[in-house]
Amino acid sequence: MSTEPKPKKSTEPKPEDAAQIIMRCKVIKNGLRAGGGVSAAGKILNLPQNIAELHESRGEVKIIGTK
Amino acid sequence: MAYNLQKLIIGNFAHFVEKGTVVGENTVGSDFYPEESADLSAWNDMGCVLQAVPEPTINTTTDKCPSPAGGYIDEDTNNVTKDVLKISLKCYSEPIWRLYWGLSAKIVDGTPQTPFLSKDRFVEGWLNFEQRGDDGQKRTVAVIYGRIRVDENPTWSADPSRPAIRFENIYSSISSIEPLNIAAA
Repeated sequence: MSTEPKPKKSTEPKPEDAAQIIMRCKVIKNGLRAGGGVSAAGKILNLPQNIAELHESRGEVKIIGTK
Repeated sequence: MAYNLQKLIIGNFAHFVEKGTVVGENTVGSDFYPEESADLSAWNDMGCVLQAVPEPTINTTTDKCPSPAGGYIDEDTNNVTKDVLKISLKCYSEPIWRLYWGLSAKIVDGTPQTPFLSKDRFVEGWLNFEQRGDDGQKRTVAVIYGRIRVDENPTWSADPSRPAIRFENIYSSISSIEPLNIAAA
């Protein structure tokens, strides 16, 4: 019988399991299609970080914080 | 030259999503509605639309204006104060029952509520209203915000009961209507 210890399983979440950061964004572009819907300008929209940053780079939303 | 003349029988298709519905991380309201995917999966199908009638409320004022031909003529000025779409449906659905019984909360089967508690009876949300000609081609696709109210009180008898509702438009900057196959000759 082998006495070699079994390798410990990693407790770190895999990248796909990690909780997605949700950003609160103020919509600038009226009729923006994001977050599964269509938003009016001024709406505070919750978007995943990568999507929020993409729309902010286009000047369509302004990130105001995290959810 | 002529307009794109079409003799049509218009069929209507209605889907609804209520204010407060959660879509992903966001909540439906006058400033947000679910995207219209091809199958409208985030929207509730209202079933067969038997008939739809637009019915604006128009306030008319009349002024007496001098006519170049002599005398005075009546000149009307119209002011539309409300836009309503009257819709007759084949089928009952949850909001219809809620309105008929004056319930203040969404119906959950088996959970009792106080009937006739709601005094201003309406269900607010987005209506996706599509019109097709008898050639199967879309003519308009409207996404409009407003309130559904009972239009005619039901008669519950041996005959099928067909709900009649009125959809009252409420302004939203993202309400839209997309015309198709209308202008092009």
